[in-house]
Amino acid sequence: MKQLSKTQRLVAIAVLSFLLWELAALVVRSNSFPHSWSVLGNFASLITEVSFWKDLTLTLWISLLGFLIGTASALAIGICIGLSRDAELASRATLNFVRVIPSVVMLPLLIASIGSSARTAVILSAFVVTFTFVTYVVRGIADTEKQLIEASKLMQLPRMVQVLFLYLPSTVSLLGTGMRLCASRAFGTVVAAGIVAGTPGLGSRLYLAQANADTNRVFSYVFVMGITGVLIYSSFTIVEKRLFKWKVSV
Amino acid sequence: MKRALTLIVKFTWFPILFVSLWEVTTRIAANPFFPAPSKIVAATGDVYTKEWLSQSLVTSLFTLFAGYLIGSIAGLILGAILGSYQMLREIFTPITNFIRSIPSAAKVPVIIALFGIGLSSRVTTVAVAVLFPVLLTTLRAVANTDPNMLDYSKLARFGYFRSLFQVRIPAATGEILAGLQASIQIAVLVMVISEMIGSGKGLGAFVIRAQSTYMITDMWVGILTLGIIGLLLTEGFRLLERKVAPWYFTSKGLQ
Repeated sequence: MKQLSKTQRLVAIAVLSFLLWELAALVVRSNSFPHSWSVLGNFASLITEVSFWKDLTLTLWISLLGFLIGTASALAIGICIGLSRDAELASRATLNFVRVIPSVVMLPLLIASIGSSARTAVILSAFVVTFTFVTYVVRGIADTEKQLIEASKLMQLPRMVQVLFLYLPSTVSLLGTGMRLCASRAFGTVVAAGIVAGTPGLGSRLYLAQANADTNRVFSYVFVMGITGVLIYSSFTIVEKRLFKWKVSV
Repeated sequence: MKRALTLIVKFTWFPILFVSLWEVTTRIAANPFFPAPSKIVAATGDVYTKEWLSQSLVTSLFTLFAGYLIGSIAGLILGAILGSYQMLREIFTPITNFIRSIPSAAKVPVIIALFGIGLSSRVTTVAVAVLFPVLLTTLRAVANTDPNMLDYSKLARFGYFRSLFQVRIPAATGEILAGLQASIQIAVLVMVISEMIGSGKGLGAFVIRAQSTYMITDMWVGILTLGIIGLLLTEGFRLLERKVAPWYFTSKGLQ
């Protein structure tokens, strides 16, 4: 089949998205489904507002904080669990259970006990990241080359040296994948907390726009979140490709 | 026998210790938001006989299953079609990728703004949230079929459908199943959020209402019920996967 050139592809994507959008607006036939051009106009005015940029940076800060706290604690917990087979068995049931509880059901508990501030969102996203990332750490350590472990035992390397120079380096590419997923999850969780619990940032703005039946605004915010999501994901992919050139596919 | 016993002990000592610690702490330092686990369990039967929780459970499960079925079937069909033509693939991958990058929670207000907060709207939300990840994994998996296999199927004069069903899809089964499994969690999350904001129906609404009326034990029962639903679905699907595509898991060393 014929290959498309880059410009052809971009034009095709733009035209097709436009057509699909208008088709959806036609099919749904609800007067609340806005035309693509009115959403674009709304989007243009949204990104000139100062308060919007404040909300966006606040959301990103909260996500970053949750991400950092979560990955750091997952690394600590994961190393402890991963180094001992017994600890891995003992924690497996608990980890599996906590991981499948949808994170937002913790929100009522958090609201009741500490209220709904930015802190609530940080705690929730840190929690989600910890439990997502810990499996990657444990699996990464389990995947460490057995011969290398034997060799390090023969050399009688101290535990600390083993962790820093043997286990961690061998988990690194898996951790990259895990971090990419966790960054998206941290952002998604902060947005969810805003929507459900009204913690400050983009999520609560989106909820307000929906409550005011301002569909143009709803779509503008969702657009912003999509772009942010793509940027977070692709920045991690770029870093990964730089750092782990030897890995064939990311 | 003895080995099995030690294994069970190794698996269970930590959860047992954890729950007992929780019990003891809440008995010593009573906190209104963290009732003792024994109290939660004792209250469970009581909460379940209240009509609204069992009704919420039925509503939630219906939303979940209907939405998941519609979304994943649509995703599978679209993914299989788009994945087998290179031109379509090149155009649709970025569009799908963009929609999938929108946090699933943010899709809920959009659907509510368009369709309201009724049951069909909640089912739509789950379906939309599941559709795009399933579409994308199916599309990728179908597109990554070994080119040699495709050449053989051309030589054997397989038609489009025959090569789709007998070559492309079987080769992609493992990845497609992994995508379907990951979507279960998304479906549960989106179901809960769509129930929490506005609808007043389902388990999500139950938990929120219990919190706002300070029935903290009821809230805990709701939270744990949601956790158990998530766990049962995920584990059930894992068993199913191992039945359907055992080779995929052995080849990945996951078994």
